[in-house]
Amino acid sequence: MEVFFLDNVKFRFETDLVLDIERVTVSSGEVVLLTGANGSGKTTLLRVMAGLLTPEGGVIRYKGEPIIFGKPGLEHRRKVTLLAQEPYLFRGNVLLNVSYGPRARGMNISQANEEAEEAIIKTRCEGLIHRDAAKLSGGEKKRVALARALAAGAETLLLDEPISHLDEENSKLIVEIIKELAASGITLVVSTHIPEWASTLSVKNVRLAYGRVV
Amino acid sequence: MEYLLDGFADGLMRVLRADPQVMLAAWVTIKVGFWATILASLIGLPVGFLLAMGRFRGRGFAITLLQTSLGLPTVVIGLLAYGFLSRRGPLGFADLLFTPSAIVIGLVVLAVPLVAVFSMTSVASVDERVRETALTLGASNGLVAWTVLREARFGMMAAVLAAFGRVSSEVGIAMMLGGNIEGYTRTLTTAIALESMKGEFGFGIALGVVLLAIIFVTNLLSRYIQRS
Repeated sequence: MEVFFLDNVKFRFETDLVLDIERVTVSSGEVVLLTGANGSGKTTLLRVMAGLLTPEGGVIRYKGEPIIFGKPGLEHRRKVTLLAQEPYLFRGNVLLNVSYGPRARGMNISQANEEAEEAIIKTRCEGLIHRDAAKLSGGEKKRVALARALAAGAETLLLDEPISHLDEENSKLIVEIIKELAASGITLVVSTHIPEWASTLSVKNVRLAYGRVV
Repeated sequence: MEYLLDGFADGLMRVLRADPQVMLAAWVTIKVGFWATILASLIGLPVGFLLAMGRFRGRGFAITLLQTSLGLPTVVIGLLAYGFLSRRGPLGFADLLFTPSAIVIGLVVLAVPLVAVFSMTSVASVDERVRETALTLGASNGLVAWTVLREARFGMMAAVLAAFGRVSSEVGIAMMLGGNIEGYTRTLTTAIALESMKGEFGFGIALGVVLLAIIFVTNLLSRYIQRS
């Protein structure tokens, strides 16, 4: 089943055309690797797919339905979650951060905490659960943000450079988690400029240059 | 010089033995300051939040107006409020002039721009990623706004404390609208003005020490909140 369908999608920052996608499709359970140099449009494309940026034109559908962008697109944002390259952790501890998504969906605190704890285990963050989010290292922050994205219960995860600026140990951990997620059947769109880590995964490669698929 | 030293000694003695007149003026100051801060926060915090988050026509003008009103001389606020509250004024029927409530009204006018501008700055300085993170985690519009507010809470609390410090040290409004009635509308600042003019320098010093202590504790709290 096709989840994402993008056709002739364009996005401008002021006057600069930074995204000009002819056609990109993503199927359910698929792992799509977005590759390309810095500034090739990977982050912009992911933000458009997440419904956070409104494209200037073209067709962009999720499961056959046109995406509603920005604040009104709550339904889409609950199906598709973006993990930013430099994720922001809210003030408070790790559990509070990870349980944000379930709470946003109306779960009560104990249900939300249960969901959060499950995601925390999947991302090997058990030791961090009551730690102050502001005091975590870069790698820990990324894993917590991944746990938070997972706990949000989305069908599709968009991961923007999940292993950039991480040490070897944290990179390995994140790659391991991504592989487990891929095996679980969740749809993943992952941007990276170091695609080697995904060599053992069955992935579809989409290479971007200057905002276009090449 | 001896006159000054005697004044300081007398002032400190009055503070140490908790002089009833000093404590009464301190109590009135804290009471009117507290209510003025609460009311100003109820108005100023939402205004600051809306100005920081909203994009509407006239926003720039509203911000300029608020920033300008930060510099309003307190005697002008006192004068205007006096006009409204005096018997011949539009609010004269309420018979509030020379009551603590009148001082509170004047202080609210003084503190609202301060709370609004400080809270606007604190909300506007919240990391742009907060909003986007909340959106992508499936937050509704209301929850997104609440999340931004939560991230800005320390700055907003600091705005409230700054307002309390400002209204506690104000003299023009308290004098014009309160009338400096002992035990009723006499605040620390109006008492200092009165006692100094009567030559009671020591009494003035005692009142000043208590006032400084109140503002010092408020600033300590504010600093603690901002650092945390």
